Amino acid sequence: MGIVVFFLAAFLAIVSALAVVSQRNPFVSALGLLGNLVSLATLMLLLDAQFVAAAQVIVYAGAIMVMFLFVIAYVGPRGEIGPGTRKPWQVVLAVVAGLLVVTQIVLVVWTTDFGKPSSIDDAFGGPGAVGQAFVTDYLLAFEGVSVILFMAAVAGVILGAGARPKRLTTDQVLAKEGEAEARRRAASRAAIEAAREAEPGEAR
Amino acid sequence: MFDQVKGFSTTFRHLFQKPITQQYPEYKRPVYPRFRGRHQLHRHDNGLEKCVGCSLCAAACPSDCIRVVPAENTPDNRVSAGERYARIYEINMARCIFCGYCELACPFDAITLGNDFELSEISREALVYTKSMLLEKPALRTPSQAVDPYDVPAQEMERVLGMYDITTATNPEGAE
Amino acid sequence: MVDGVLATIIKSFVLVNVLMAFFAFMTWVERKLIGRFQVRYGPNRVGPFGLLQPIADLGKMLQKENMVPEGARVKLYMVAPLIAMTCAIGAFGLMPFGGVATIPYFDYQFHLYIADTSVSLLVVAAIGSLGFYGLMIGGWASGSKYALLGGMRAIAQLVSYEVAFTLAVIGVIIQAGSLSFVAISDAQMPLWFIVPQFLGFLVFFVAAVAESNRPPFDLVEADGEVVAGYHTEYGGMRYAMFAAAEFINAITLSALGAVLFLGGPNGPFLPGPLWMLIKIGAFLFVLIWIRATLPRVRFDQLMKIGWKVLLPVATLNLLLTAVAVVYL
Repeated sequence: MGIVVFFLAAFLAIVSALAVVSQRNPFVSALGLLGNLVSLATLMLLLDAQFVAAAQVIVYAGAIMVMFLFVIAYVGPRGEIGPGTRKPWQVVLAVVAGLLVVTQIVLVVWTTDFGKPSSIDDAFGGPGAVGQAFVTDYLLAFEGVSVILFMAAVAGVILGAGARPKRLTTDQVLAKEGEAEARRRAASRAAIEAAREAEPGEAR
Repeated sequence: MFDQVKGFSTTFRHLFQKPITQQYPEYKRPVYPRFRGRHQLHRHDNGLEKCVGCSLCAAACPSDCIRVVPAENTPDNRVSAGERYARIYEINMARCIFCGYCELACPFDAITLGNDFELSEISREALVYTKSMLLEKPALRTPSQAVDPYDVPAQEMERVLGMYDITTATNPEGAE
Repeated sequence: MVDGVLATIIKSFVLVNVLMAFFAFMTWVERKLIGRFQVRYGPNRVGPFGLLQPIADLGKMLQKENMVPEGARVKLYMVAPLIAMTCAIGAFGLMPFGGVATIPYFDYQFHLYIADTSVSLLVVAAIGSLGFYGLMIGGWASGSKYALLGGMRAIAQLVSYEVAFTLAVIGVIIQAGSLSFVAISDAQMPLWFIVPQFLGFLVFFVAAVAESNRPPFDLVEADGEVVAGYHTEYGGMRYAMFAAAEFINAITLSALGAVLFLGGPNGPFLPGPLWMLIKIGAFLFVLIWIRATLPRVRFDQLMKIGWKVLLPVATLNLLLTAVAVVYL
């Protein structure tokens, strides 16, 4: 049973990852990423990491991908991205990065001893174990990540809402308009005065 | 804030009140005396039709839904009480707005609007009523109130004499 | 699998059918109850007391034209109601309806739930989050501006209230000490969590009403609105699936509330499933009561409530619970 689920989830993960990079429409590409995340969550479940799997679906697939899709649907390119937007240096960079990743994977798989599985207890992937790890071994990283998330939230608010122009009250608007009117009147009066000064001098 | 809670108690109390729905086909609310329903062509007491085919009703109709084609009354075929009669008299009920102008325009009191409002058909052709259909009385009798509800002295008289209970139309038995 | 493959398949089959029948019955209950709340009869013509009304509605839905709008992406358009439906029903697989039951004649024992993991609550939340994609994909794939905007608004509402919802639920988790539904139900034997977690219950309830797109938070898909939001371009059976998924979502959240705050299937005399039915029924009654009483909330008011009211109250509840559990 586990083997069947494993191969099914692995197949779906690969197919959806291919969909992410090959689909022309960005929305469908993001949906492919969603499928990939769900398949990965299944694979994590097979590895006894229940909490991480559920948390990944809730947070990444359920909230972050939603935001992705929001942005793509609202401000994304209308329709499909044509092949004409590819630049040659991007292709070179992509091939190099792909080769690096493949080399990394091959190295890791080659040098790992898959002989004996490590012993884990029943509470391995549960929330208790993860929580313990957070507050004992990885406390600094945990707090650091929370500070970074907080900074991101504050930055979002400032960037998004801080640029609003200050709204004037009605009295202020009227005062500004009155000022402009008074200035205009003063300027025209000065022009008339100047003309009257110049005139007797010219007529003489 | 407490007004919200009072709102909830109001709807909760409604659960225990008897619903005020009037179940239509079992109970038909009596219509007012001057209700404008289906048209009715009338006859004199001696059997002659009152309608002479003058088509003043057709002229008065704002929806242009009455069709009148007159013909001469011959001595052996005397239909109406005048010189001519309406050979074809049709009202298109789909266009009629039941305003009653035809009733007001008729100089011979030949056409009045009665109480029948249950006029549903399943085809447009069936809604064009011919003269023979209009001469007949409606199939179902629509109950009507004997006295105009806005005629206060008459209402008082009715109440005192105890002949009718006009003020609220009660629901004898619902479908529940 | 808790009881083996065959028993799980049978239990799933029974659960899906019971859930759909319950949904159909609840549409009748809702219409009758709302009628009574408004001093009128509900539907009473179709069968005795209008009981055949859901069947009439089903017949009406089935004979409507199943069209696909012109600018739509067809495969995504057709798959969106399925996603919504699957995730709505799937979350019910984890709900506990009791402990162990025995079939008397054959002496066969089975559990009265389909699955129970150590992180049941998280899995239910995860499946619920995946259900939102049905709405979003439906809104985008319809090829219509109204559907897209409605879908995005619906998603914004759901994601906003999910935060407060999760925080309220975490209070329960802290007090129960476990994420498994069976353990949470058993931890409420002396006192139901609605008493110590009253603030959390209020936040949970308001967030649950918003999460299931029920009135008064149903701006994106209400009957009285001019355009129907993400299911504008859906007709016939597909629309029925969306409506069913939404209502089953409401049933799931009621079941969640019953398990987390009202003690689940535990109770004095009656068997477990009956208690669950009573508690879910009580929740649904209150949901219908709220629908009959309150006017609709505007979208900006909705967002304000979710972020500025519910989130601080849920955080406060979390703090108080944590302090109480650690120091008391």
